[in-house]
Amino acid sequence: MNNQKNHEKDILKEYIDPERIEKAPEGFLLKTMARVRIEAGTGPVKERLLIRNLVPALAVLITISLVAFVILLPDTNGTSLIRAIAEKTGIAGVSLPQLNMDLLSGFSFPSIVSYLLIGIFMLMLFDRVLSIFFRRNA
Amino acid sequence: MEYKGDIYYIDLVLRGNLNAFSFIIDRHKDRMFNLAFRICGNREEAEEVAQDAFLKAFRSLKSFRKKSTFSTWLYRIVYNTSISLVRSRKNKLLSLEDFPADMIDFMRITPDEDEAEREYKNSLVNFALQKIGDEERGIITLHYYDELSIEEMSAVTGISRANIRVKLFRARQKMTEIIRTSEKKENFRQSTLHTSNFPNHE
Repeated sequence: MNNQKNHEKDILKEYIDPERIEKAPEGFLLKTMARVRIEAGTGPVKERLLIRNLVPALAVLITISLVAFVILLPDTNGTSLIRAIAEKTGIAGVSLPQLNMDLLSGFSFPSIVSYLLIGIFMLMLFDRVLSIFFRRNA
Repeated sequence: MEYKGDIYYIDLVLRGNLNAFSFIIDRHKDRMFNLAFRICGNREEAEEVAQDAFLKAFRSLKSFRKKSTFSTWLYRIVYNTSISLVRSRKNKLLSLEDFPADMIDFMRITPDEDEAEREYKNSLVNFALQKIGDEERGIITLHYYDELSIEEMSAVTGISRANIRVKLFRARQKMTEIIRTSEKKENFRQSTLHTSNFPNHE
């Protein structure tokens, strides 16, 4: 009842016509749907996750392969993992190159190189994180 | 084509029919744009806000629980997006002291007197809306234009029902005051104009 009285006195009811709303501009539907399509991944702008991360993925794959290769490199005593697997499975004719350590004698890296490598690795990580962050914001 | 209801189109979208979302946008775009416009105060920002809101709704369509109506859920997104945008503005919109036009200005735009009066009232409401707070603008719009109940307004804004009543009361008072002041000035202008138009018999 009180509300009813308030509404009767309500000057805003005279001024505000609920039918007189501000309508969305021309082309609103098309523009919004274009954004929705991009969001859904069916638009041409959307990159697939794999394509977007192809280069770092390949880099990681190659690095892991190289590290694995070094670990599995046969030693002179014939106790390497690959040799053991080859012997177990009986693969004939498996021959792997042996690293001649004598060639590396007399060759030494300065100690700063190890710091440099760690620095480069950290910068790579930092760069990757930043690029992911800014791409998401964009 | 007859609109088959929000839930029907939402289910279609969730099953991968992207075009079904265009029916939802078409259905709600004007109401959502109006809410954004009344809070932001200009069409450019309102369009941006309404588009962003539809995009947010699309992204989180799966999380729509169907506890409230879809339009209430959509209103909430538009309301929150508009309030965030207004609060993040570096430069506040200029708020004029007096309503910068009178009925005669609107008579120049349209020869139809009724239409001129409606346009004048609409502009005066927009002017008064810019003089009150962000949340109050949203509440006034939801109450007068969208005719939502107190419960629905509470669901949209996240403000308690008691607080909605208080804010609505205060906003109504402020707007009434602004409109009455502007009307008095308008009446004064018209009477001055009328007096000055009398022929001088001296």
